[in-house]
Amino acid sequence: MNDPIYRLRRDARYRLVDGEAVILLQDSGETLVLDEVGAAVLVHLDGRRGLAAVAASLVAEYEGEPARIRDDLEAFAAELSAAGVIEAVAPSTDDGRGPQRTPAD
Amino acid sequence: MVMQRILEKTWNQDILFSALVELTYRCNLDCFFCYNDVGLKGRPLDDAQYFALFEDLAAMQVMNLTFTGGEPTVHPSFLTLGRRARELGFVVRIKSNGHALAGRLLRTIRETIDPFVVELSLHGAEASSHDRQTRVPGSFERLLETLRDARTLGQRVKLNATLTRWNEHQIEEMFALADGLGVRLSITPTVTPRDDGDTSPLAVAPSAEGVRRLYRYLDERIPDAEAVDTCTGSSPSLHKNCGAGASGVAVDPFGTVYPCVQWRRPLGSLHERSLREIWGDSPALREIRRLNRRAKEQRMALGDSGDGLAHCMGLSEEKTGDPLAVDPDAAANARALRQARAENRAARVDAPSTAAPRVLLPVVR
Repeated sequence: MNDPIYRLRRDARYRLVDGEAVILLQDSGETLVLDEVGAAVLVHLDGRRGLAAVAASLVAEYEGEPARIRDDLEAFAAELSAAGVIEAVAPSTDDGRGPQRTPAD
Repeated sequence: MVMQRILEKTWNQDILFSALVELTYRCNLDCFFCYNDVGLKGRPLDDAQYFALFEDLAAMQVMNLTFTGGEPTVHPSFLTLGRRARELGFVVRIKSNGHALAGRLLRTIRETIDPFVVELSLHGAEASSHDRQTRVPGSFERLLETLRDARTLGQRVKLNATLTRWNEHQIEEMFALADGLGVRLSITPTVTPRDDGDTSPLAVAPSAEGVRRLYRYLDERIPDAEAVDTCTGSSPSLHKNCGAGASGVAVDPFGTVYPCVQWRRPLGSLHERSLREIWGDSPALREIRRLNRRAKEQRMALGDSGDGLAHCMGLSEEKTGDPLAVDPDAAANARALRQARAENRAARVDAPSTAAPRVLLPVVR
């Protein structure tokens, strides 16, 4: 997949507490906390946009070299995916869940 | 530890994180010591008002939403409200007696609401004690059926029990039952008056010996656990006694908002103002927070003599009229806890155990 799209996993719940993201993985009962930067990235992983578009948004938000931000974003998304927080979405897949699951949707 | 830090932040900075919603006081059991004021009258919240409340809570980044009652599942819109809670991304908890969940309802709840946990009430280790408290024959068997179904469905459940004179001889057996089902069990030694001030439930409050036995048993399972109670926090970094009105609120079926399910001091009505407005500028809430900080200062001033003290301000206000007065029963329980731990420590010195304790007690709720 050249430009993967990620969304929150079905069993993941999160809220922003004073800028940090508090995540509960319901199936395992595991809790995780992301710092403000991680939380800002998580909000962007909405199942609609690929990482390239997310990276472009982050470049606009944070001063930094675009290629570096893109690399960091890919690494972070891989970490979140391995932790069971997010999952990749195949663009052509319609599983009836809709494109995103965020706390406020 | 990381969640402890987050919870400290919510308490200290008045960040609303958990809301408890009493959907109805109707119930299909008739527990002798139920604390609900079943005679309370008012205009129930309708579905649109609940939806508005949930949307407010989600926008305020509230994570935990608990449905309770009465028996919440008998509310006619329970599934509709639960579905909306799921859509809004809450971590949903359901406190139920489990009497009517077995079979289709539990499956529907899992599919529709996807709760993080269903908390079920256990009243004894066998039908004679359980059904005596619920005053509904067959309720113990119905609860077991629900527990078996939950396991089949993969639904996380937790058992909550209140220690009473009628079940205090079954502490070990209740834990054995829970262990056999692979379910966590919490037992509180505190029987409270009803919310209308009726003290008749206290007639079945556990004996001092029963409380001491409970603490000894709990301490055997988790030696020197940091906290047995699950509401108050002893850490010096917590600036408040508990989360009441700081990180949590409770809402009754008629839209009255309280700082906690136990502290029935009204903060406002959802028929008149939104939760966001009440949270933001309620003078009653400011007073609650002041008292909460003061109670913490009192607790810290006690030093080691306050170890194990679970000072519930709501219960103190109900029993003594003063939320800052330490309830004598809470003080007695703290002494019983310290005594139980000392006895266990002495016993461990005599006969050190090699068995690894199972971690069953939450430090905070």
